[in-house]
Amino acid sequence: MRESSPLNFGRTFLLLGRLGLGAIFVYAGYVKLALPGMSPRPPLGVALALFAMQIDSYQLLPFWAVNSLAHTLPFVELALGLLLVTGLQVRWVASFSSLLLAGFFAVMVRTYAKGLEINCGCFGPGEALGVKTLIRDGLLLTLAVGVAFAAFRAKRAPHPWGAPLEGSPVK
Amino acid sequence: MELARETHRAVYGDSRYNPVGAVFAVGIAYMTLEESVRVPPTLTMIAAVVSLLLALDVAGQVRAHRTKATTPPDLAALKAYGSKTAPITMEVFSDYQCPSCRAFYQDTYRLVIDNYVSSGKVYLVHRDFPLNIHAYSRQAARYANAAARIGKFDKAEEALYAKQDAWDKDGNLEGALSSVLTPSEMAKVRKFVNGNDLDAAIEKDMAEGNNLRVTQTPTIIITCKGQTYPISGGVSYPVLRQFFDQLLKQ
Repeated sequence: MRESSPLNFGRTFLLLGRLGLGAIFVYAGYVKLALPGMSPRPPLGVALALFAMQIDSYQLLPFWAVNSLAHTLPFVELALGLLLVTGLQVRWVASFSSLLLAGFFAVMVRTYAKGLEINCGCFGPGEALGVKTLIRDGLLLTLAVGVAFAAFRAKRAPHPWGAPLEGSPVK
Repeated sequence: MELARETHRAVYGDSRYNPVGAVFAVGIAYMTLEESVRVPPTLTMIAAVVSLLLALDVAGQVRAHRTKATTPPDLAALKAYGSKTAPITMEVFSDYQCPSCRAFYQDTYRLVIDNYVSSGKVYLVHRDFPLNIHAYSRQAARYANAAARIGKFDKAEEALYAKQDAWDKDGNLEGALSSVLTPSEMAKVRKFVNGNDLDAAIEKDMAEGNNLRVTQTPTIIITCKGQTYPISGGVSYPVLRQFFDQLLKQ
């Protein structure tokens, strides 16, 4: 594909990457808030308190921080997911997602290295933290960094079908 | 068969008295006294003895005694705190030699007993899940189960965790329990530990844990209104309290 084509590798990767990453973030937030595996579904308060217990099991934060994180993180994940899917401010959203996933990954590696056998809490309750979850989160982090990189790169090389930048010569 | 037993128990209580045998005995007595019915005296005697045995259900009592002697009692209720009718049931799969279990017991479990079990909101059940990586955890579980059989489970559990550092090195479990059990209680406990009954109770807990996909300790299974919430690893009391309060608010 030519560099000026709307479907070159960078743009295709950016499109598919942000859609995939966005969907994963939306799913992660939704699972934490709605606990879809349970029937009848518990109320939101129970879901958030359950997520707080999962964060607490990492033995890293004091109660107030655990509680604050439990009550904000699922909504942040939903918002990031929706922003990635829509493509709004994709450079900054992808960068923030990369930082968030890097934080998750670092905490998971630390917990695994300490030998704590706890639930990951990544996609709801009941999933043990282990090599599989570490590899999965590592791949997600790589994808997020790749999307952020592609987004910045795409900004430098605007879409050939996009409006010409101000002051740029019209061909 | 079980239904028949339940019906019998409902009508006659737990007495071993057998009404069929009694009716038979009354019939034999009538035949003996009634001159018109000619029954040889030897046969009457045999029938009387048989009917008396039936009336007292001697065989049943012997069976019951044998059963009592060989079948260990269900220890689950003896290793639980609170009322079974509490809205929340919390099962804790733990290993007495595991440091995380001790931390959970001392920082969270005791507070749950004081604040939620005593008020009838939580039914707390201890489940044994001794891990193979710990040399003395199964023996500690045997001692705790033996203590449960004499009604001293809570004291034994507390002592085992409090003195974990000591017996973790040399396996001297009786030394750890001596502060909470009298010499005669210790003798009873030792007798139960040396028997073979207690392993069945431990295995039963472990089988239940395996069904719930428990792989490590402590693992907490919270059940409320038909929902089951598994929590792996310890959890601090303020966070658990918040979860309980949310469950109770439903």
